[in-house]
Amino acid sequence: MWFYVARRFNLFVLTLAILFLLVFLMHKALPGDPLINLSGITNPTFHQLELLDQQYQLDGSVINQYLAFATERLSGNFGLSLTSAQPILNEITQRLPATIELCIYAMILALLVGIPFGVLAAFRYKKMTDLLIVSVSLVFYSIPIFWLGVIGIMFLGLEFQLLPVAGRLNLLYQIEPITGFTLIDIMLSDLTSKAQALRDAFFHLVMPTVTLALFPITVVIRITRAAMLEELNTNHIKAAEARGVSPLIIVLHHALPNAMQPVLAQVSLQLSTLLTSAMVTEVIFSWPGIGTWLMSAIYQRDFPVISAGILICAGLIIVISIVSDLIAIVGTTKRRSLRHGKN
Amino acid sequence: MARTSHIYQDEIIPSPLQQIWRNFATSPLAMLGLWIFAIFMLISIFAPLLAPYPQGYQHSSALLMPPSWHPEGHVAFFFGTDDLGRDIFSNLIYGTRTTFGASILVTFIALFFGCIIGIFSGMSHGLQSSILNHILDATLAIPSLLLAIVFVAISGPGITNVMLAVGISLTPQFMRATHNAVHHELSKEYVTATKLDGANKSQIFFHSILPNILDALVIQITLSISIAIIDIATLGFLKLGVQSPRSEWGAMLSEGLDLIFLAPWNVAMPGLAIFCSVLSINMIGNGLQRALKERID
Repeated sequence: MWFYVARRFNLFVLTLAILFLLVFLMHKALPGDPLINLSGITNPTFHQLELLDQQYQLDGSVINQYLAFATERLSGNFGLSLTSAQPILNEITQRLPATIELCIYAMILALLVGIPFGVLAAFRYKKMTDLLIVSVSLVFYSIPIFWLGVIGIMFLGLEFQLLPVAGRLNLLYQIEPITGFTLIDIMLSDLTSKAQALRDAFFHLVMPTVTLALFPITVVIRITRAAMLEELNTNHIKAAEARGVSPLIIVLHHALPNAMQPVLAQVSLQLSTLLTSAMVTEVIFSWPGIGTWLMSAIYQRDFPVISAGILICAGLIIVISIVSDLIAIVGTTKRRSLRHGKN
Repeated sequence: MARTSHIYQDEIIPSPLQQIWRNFATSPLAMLGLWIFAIFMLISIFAPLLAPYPQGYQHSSALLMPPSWHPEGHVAFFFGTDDLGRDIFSNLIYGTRTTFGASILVTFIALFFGCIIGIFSGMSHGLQSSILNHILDATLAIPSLLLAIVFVAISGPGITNVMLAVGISLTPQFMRATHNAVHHELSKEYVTATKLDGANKSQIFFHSILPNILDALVIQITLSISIAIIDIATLGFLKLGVQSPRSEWGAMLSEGLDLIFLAPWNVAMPGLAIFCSVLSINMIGNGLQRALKERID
């Protein structure tokens, strides 16, 4: 068991090293002064210049430069933003919770909606319900996310004025960011009108979350349906059917727990898609997360921010996928033996 | 004499591809998808012949004309015009080239490079395979759209850069799909049998493995085309994609956003075009998956 954990850890370190290498190579290809692009200090004094030279070792060999770059970034020094001249790490800690909040709610919504419909489709395989669920999910699978967001803004936001179209919270409420998650922050705050603030924050969340969740919902439906179909064909299900167990208990109690394993494993693979969709969603709904931050950096050619953004986004995905992999390996002996061909 | 040979000829066992096609053709949805796909293909090839007006031509006398079925519309501008008097119908037809045609081109380029690397990493074993595998995992961890956005951000917008960016971001997925398919086949017994018969590596690959991984590749192709369309359109929407005067569906949509109250058709039509093309490809992909599954069952 510890052998597998060590293997995963090994993979984690190597993947991270390759990610740093890719970003380092990107820095090499960037136009402009490499020192400015790395540090974000536009007009360094002589003293600073000496210090930066020592930090990033631009006089050294390429390997030294790479190692220096990786150590700086790993120790939390992402440099300054070219536009705001603020340390990038501070901006990340401000922005990242908003994105994570949006992603978590969308993922929860996707699982809550996707799994029941997937199970229902598998249970009514090749019947009207199944066909309907599969076709509707295919339609939503094909809608480009930005079009969906725009339609949502047009009808729900402007035409019927049901939901707010931008931001996280009405400016009336002054909430101190403690965790960065609006809902938790409101709970922690000493506001007199907590209930109204919560309501407002919730209404702000609805449209971005639903827009972001629609694509994962369809994916979860497909994965759950496929996993359940496979599970319903196994012998222990047939045995249970022969014993006269009611179909509801068979599906919920015998098939679903087994089918959840592959579903959760595949859902963690969807995270990178979720994060990019979140970036587009943030741009549409002016959600102050890492996506809007990165996009404005791209428009302004703020290279230190761009490279930091890639490192953070990809690093986050790597960490989450390794952790979910570890949980899956610890949780099921079947997977452990499958991986290495020992029965 | 002649009759006996006929008896054997009467019973033709359809080849795997024919079987897949027969299964595929039984689904009306999949066939509908194929027809829509073919129409988009024809439009993107013959765009200059089909479009009523030249690309980006501005009719200064017909600004913000509604679509032709609207009481104020005119049939000369079938889907209406935008705020510069450009005919939306012609722009959509030209946009088919940049969004739909380019995505197909890009997918096949990515297929070519991704396959070669995937086959090498799939056929290798030991340390070599492990190293390639780690590189694959790292490139897959970077979201494809983010990679494309950053590539365009550095190299500047324009059709060539957009295609390069999307191609580079699609390649890892092909590498992964090929790698997994090859690895999966390698562990099967019929491959071991050919190995015992003394086949060398290239013989094993071309005669045993390649025919059996084609179906996995075909599914990956349909998946990638739809991803490529969405990616190109998203780049256009974020104003990083193809620049005017060349028209592109995503860029048309984002230009129409400012006028969404005055002229909603400016947003609806390009969005509908993206949606239809992606839906047709997904219907084909779904049909193919079903057909393959039924052949194996």
